Parts: sequence; C-alpha cells; structure tokens
Amino acid sequence: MAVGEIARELPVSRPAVSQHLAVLKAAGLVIDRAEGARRVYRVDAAGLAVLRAWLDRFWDGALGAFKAEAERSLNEDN
Amino acid sequence: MTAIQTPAPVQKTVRVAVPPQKAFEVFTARMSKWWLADHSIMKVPRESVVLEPRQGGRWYERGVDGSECTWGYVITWEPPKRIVLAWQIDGTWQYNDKFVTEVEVRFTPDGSNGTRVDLEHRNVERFGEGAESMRAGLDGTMGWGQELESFAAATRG
Repeated sequence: MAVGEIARELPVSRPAVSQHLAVLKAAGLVIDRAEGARRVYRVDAAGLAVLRAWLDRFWDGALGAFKAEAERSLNEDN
Repeated sequence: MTAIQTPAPVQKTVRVAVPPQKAFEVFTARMSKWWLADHSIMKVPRESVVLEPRQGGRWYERGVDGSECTWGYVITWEPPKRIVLAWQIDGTWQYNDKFVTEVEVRFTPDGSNGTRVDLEHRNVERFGEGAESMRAGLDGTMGWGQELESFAAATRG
C-alpha cells in the first residue's frame, strides 16, 4: 500500500501517516520498498503490527488478572 | 529495498506478593480462575482452561457442553521456576498444529515473600504467515487504521 492510499483511509494528514509509518518501520513492524517515485508498504506487516499490539494488551490484561488471583488465593489460604 | 526486521517479542513483567511456588501454582493449575473470560475461541461459554502439568502436556479450554479447543502444549515444565508454552492459535484465531509461537514465563524470588514474573511471547513474526486471512479477521473487529494510530502513539511513548 502506498502512503497516499493509507492516508485516504485515515482521519490524519499524509505527512502524519508517513511519520507513523517511519515509527512502525523503526520498530521492525512494517516493510517498505520503492516503486518508482512511490514508497509502498507491505500490508501483511501492518497486520502483524496490529496483532503484536493486540498481544501486548492481551498479556497486560491477563497478567493483571493473574496477579489479582495469586494474591487473593494467598489470603484465602491464610 | 529495506531489509526485513523481526518484530520484537512481547515482554511483560509483573510482581506478585506471593512466593514463587504459589505464583507458579496459580499460573498453571488455576488458569481457569484468571484467564480472561472474553478471550476464548469457542462458540459456547467456557467452563475451564486446562494446562496438563508435565512436559508435552496439552493446553486447552473446555466449553460448558464438554467440547474442547486446543491452544497448544507444554514445551518446558520446570516448577516453580519456569515454563515454556507453545501458543498455537494462529492469526486467524484458529488452533493450527503447524503453527507454534513460544510463551516463556519465569518466576524469580522477589524480596522475602514475593515473585517477579517475567513473560515473553516470541516468534511474533510467524503470525505474519497467512497474513491476508488474518487481516480479514482483524478488519472485522477493529479496523487497522485506528490500531495503527494508537499503536504508533504508544510506540512513541
């Protein structure tokens, strides 16, 4: 997907999208290549970024629930 | 052409006010008690989450109707210090026996009666295989534009 195509789908400016993509690229989550004058980003890698972000939040929630249960069960035993 | 970089593993640390033996026991044997109820791949309500306590043991959820959905298996079983689980739910939210990502959890004594729990979910890049169908699934629930926005914001801190 080219930057312009991505920007059309979002309520933010094209330079802002480029900036965000640069961040994702630095994090190793999107892959880009030059196609003529355009820079094209691989959509599957963007999907990977979404999934990684989901996993990140998922484990935050799961470990929070684990901590609560571990500490609750200790009080129960005492 | 930019070289393909591997996405960083998901790493989390939580400190719990119980000894390692207890933390390990709650994490493994009482997963039903804490695993988030809305994180299920079953069509029926969940009755329990089971982690068979041995190397090679199955990791699965069981529905109220007795049906089961496999999530993965135990790669390493070292109570009360460490476990490594194979997470085999792929990017389309299906169990896939050819798909393996690793979740390592380490339990380290922290102070006199606490535990530091370090979790690492690695091989995240493997979710990218079969990315098209995964994206279709994700688009239905959140829409990638919004996610891209919030993710980029989070990355910048």
